[in-house]
Amino acid sequence: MKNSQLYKGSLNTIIMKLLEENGKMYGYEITQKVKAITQGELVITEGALYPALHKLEAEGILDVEIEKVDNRLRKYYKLTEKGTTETVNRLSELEDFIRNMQSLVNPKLEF
Amino acid sequence: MKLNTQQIEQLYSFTRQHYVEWYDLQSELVDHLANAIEQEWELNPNRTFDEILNKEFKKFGVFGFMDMVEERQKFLNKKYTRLIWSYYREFFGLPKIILTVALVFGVHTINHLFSNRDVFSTIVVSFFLISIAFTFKKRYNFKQKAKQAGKKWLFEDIMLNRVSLMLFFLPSFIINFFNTFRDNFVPSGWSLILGEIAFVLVVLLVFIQLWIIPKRVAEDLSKIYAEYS
Repeated sequence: MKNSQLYKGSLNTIIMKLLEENGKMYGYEITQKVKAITQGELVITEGALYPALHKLEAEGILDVEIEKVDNRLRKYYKLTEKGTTETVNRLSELEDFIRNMQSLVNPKLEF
Repeated sequence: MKLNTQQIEQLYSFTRQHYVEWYDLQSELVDHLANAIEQEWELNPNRTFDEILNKEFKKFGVFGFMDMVEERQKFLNKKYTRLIWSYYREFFGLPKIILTVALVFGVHTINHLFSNRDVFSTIVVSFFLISIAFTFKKRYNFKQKAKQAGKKWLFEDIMLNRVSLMLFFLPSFIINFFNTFRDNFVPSGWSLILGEIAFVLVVLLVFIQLWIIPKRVAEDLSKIYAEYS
């Protein structure tokens, strides 16, 4: 992940948003998807991703599913019912944050 | 190019070398590393397996896989505590509360019948000794199973550690019990009833951890992992 607190604070929301769009995903797939969407601008490091995934699982936001793919096991993550509701909340919170930051950084002063 | 079975095995032993002893965590890391190596080979077919593996491992940061392990341990410890309390609560609601009351009544009747403080003491000590022996046996069985299967599961390990913690505290319960009641314990009145209730509460806690939760852990693991046995 880019070495910035701004991105770090949004990691959970990024994961949840991706899972909302894609149904179920595995860890490596998440890192690659973020890299592709942001054209390499944002790289989620493994050291941050897996603790975050396990924490979300602990909070009951994610559920897991194991599948045998090729000659190995793959652990898929998907949103629980609670996770789906929580994603909507966190996204709207993030959008508010972005809007407010935009007005603060780029204020249109009208008197 | 896809990784072959031998290379996958190599990845499993790599995770073991980096202090990830549990199969559930190892599998997730192995799949991640395997994906990364396969993708890198598509772009740079000349790079060696070890070269890419070391590069990918560095991405996990200075603590390697430890952050992931710690987060998982925290989660499963919390889950274990939640399980204990959810089963414990059941013994104070219908229908199981009938069993709880019956147990207190049973212990009280025995005390009443024999009217001798040594009887209650013997029941308490026997129960603790049997529980300790049973916990030792359980630990041994789990270790044998892990050795045979060549796989350890983190939730099972956490369960064993927590049960052993209980094992560590049980002897001090016994000592406290005798210190408190040695000289002035008269098996009658409210103090006796309170002692009986306290004893039944501990019995339930031990029963939940030695009987109910191991079954639940096995159920949970086999639901997710077909390899679990």
